[in-house]
Amino acid sequence: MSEKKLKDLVIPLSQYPHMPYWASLKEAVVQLTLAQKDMAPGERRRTVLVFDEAYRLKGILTQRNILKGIEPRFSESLAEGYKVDWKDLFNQPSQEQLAKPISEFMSPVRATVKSGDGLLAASHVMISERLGLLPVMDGEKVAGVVRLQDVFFELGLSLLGA
Amino acid sequence: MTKPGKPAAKGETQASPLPAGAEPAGEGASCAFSQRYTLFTKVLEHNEKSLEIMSDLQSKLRGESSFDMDYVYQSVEDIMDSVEAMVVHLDAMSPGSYAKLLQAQDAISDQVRAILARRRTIPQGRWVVPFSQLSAADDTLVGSKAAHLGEMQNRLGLPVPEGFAVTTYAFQEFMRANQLWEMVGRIMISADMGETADLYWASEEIKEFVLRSPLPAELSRSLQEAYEKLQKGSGRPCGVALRSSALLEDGHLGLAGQYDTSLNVMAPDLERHYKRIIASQFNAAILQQAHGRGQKLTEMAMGVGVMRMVQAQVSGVMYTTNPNDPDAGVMMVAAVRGLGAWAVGGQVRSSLYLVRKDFELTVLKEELSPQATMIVCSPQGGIAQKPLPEPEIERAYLSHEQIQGLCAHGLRLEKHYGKPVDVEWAVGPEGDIQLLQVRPLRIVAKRLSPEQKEHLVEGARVLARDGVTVSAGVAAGKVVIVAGEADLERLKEGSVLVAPSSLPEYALYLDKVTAVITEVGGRASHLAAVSRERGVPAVFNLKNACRILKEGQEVTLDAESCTVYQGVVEPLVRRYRKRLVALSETSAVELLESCLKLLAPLNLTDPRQPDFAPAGCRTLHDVTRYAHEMVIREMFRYAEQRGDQHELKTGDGEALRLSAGLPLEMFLIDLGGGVKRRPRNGEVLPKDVTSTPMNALLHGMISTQWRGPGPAEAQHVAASLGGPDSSKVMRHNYAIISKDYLNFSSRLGFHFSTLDTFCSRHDNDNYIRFMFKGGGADSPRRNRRARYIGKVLQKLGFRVEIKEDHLFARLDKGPCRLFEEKLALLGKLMVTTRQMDMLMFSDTVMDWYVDEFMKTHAQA
Repeated sequence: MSEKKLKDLVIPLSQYPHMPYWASLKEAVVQLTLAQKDMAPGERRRTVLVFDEAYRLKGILTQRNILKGIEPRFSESLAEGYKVDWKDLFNQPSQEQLAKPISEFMSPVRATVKSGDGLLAASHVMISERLGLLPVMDGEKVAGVVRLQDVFFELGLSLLGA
Repeated sequence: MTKPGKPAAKGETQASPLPAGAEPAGEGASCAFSQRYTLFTKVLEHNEKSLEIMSDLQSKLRGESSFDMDYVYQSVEDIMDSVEAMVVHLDAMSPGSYAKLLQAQDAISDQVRAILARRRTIPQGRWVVPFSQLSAADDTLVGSKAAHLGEMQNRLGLPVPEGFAVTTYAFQEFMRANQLWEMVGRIMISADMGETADLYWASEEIKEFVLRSPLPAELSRSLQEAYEKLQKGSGRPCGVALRSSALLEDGHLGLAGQYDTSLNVMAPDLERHYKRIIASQFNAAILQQAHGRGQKLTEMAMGVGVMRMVQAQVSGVMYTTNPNDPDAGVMMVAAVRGLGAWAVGGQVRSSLYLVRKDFELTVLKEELSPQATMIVCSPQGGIAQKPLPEPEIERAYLSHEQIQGLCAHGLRLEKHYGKPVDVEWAVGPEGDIQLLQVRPLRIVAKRLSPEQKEHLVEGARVLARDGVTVSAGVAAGKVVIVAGEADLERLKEGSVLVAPSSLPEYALYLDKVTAVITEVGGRASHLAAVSRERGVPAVFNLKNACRILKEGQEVTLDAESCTVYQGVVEPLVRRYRKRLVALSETSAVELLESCLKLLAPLNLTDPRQPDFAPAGCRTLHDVTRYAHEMVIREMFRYAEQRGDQHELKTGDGEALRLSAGLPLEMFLIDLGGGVKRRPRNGEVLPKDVTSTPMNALLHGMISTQWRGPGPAEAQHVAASLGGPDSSKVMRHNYAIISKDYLNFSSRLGFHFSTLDTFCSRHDNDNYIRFMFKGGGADSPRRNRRARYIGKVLQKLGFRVEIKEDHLFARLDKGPCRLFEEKLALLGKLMVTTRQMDMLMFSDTVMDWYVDEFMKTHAQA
């Protein structure tokens, strides 16, 4: 039995939220909420790819990045006490955070895979880098992303001989 | 008119493929931009001029002020000149591309000239012509009244007394043979026409000369022969009626009916009465008018109709449409006993009959007026009064059969002429109906004084009082706010159309609506012309009309005072209908009417329709509409070509670098009045820009936060990457400007946009055309961005067309201030939409961005 190629699991870029790096945190919230209001909960995307003006991948913005961006105290240890109040989210400092560009909050791209790579290569990278999502490159261009859940699903089915 | 010189650039430049959706009729090399701009402004000028004259002619026809034949000739010639100039200048922008339009314009002008020429040439050689040989086409031969008597008798077979017409040629020969024009000239020079006494003296003097002069022998003999033939036909000696049948009858509406009529004239008096009638052309009022308007008296000519006298039992007039209620489908007959002189003159009260225009011709109403005396023919000639015996005074004297017979004739005439008519008639001794005269009936509204009005609208709430009257009248109905094209479908019978702008496309709906109110637009716009033509009351330039008036609200528009009242103000609406009065046609009116048919109606309304082409032009108004649309496309087309070729032609002036703190390179090319002074180092600052539209756009661009790197950098990267469209992203951005004009095409990153706008104090000339296409993201996202821009622009009042990621938006006509606002917003939009396609993940996010833009930038 031959190894499955990643190609079949790639979610193309056109079906994935992406933004220029100077867009605001607020716009990122819109991309991950309002923009997906009409999609089934299971279909909703949880990450934004961040590009520069020439469509080069600059970073990845996760829900975590966004929440920490809105309320920097989220990153402090819980052991020091629960400090954030619901109202705080609507205070001026939070609103100011929302206006800042996402480039200040995004995570760097730690790894990518090529669209021609196999499932195992992708799982390897995901495990060693602790990533749930990997950009898939087609030469210099981003073709899309693969998710750990989809890779696992295919791997699992193969293991069971299904 | 002067024709523009051949553009110097012809042949020097390459013809290039035209952008889709903007191609003019054919191939053509383009000329240098500065020249092109000069041609463009000429086209606008002539467009404005021709529409203004058309507007004036239409108001005249609606009875708003007086006019004469010369006015008609001059105005119509002026329109033809202006329209020709428009097309010639347009063609010079792209030589040869508008050959078909030139042909269409030529063909229509030829038809108009044929109408004008027919009126001017008097057929030579015949002194008298029997009615049996006449038709409407002979109006220059015998004057209008006699020609139409022939038309009724010979073309329609209607009963008309036997008779003949003395020709206009006969009149001219009479004047010539007696050297009367020279005499008239001398008298007119020696009189001070400003003095009433002199005026009357001159009139009496001229009439005296006319009456004293002998008829040319041949005319005299022809007259006698024709008269004898008439006697023979009737079998017994009889009197005749002589009626004026003017060719260049004066067009002053209030003076209709100035000329004399002679009744029951016997053989020996024939010549004297003929001269009396032609002398009546020189009455004081007419001399005064001719003098006041510089009208040439020598152009006057008159035929005279001579018909067997009807020994009338009853006579009167019939209007085939009741002037007091034109829409009710009712005819009106007024009758008196005896001869009709009194019915027409108004000395006795006529009996009135209202008849429904249905198959049965039901008599709806009879209003009998008692009559104690009547006019009859005297046996020895002339007319006399005769008392009516007591039992006759209050008795009905027309049977229903007679009324219906008369009305049946009226209906045939109305159908034949295609409009309501005014008919004089008589019932002969045997009870037979005879028709004595037919004229087209015009119904126009008399103005009410402000005091009269105040009383009528007492208690009514004024919703708005603002704007300009473009078509007078009063009407009530339910408001339909037309903000976008989809709203047009909601217009119903009796709607009041309320819209932000006065787009020509609305013309299609004018047969449905009762009134039109718009926030911008002027008297000379296309929609204004059509409103007047259809008689739909309209007020333009009523500020905030779409906000003040609510959808579905009942309102009454008084277009004369530019006032909108809440609800239906019944007394005003009723009174307005009552003010309608019947006016009889004069030749100047008729001439104007036939010319206007080839001038004013607008058939080309929607540029997207296939018949929006030279072949679809049926009137000069159509030609101007097409040429106006095309001249804007010509300007636009150039910018798009330039975007692809990136070349500016020599003669377009030096490109000045704009230093505005924007992260993009922008160069200005000034065609005149766009920049305050020439900077030494070739750089201008925003404060040096004097171009109204450029300033407005810059204001919007500068006041908006520019996010991310400048496009120059992006272009560099994109080019090195070989991204989409990378071959084109390295270009500079050029703005070609003048005081009132801006043509700006730019590539900001992966998209390309072109803006072409004219923003001046002439509301009617102002326009914005904006094209946007392309992007770096996948096509669903690019298409969504185009739709995003489209939605914002629609909210800002633009008309928008979108095909995939290609957007085309237009805004037409309106005050400069409004256009400046829109341009500033467009500047903001151009800045914020850069690379926005990336963000267009779904339709919901697109809508969110529309709301954001409106909230942030366009709060009313």
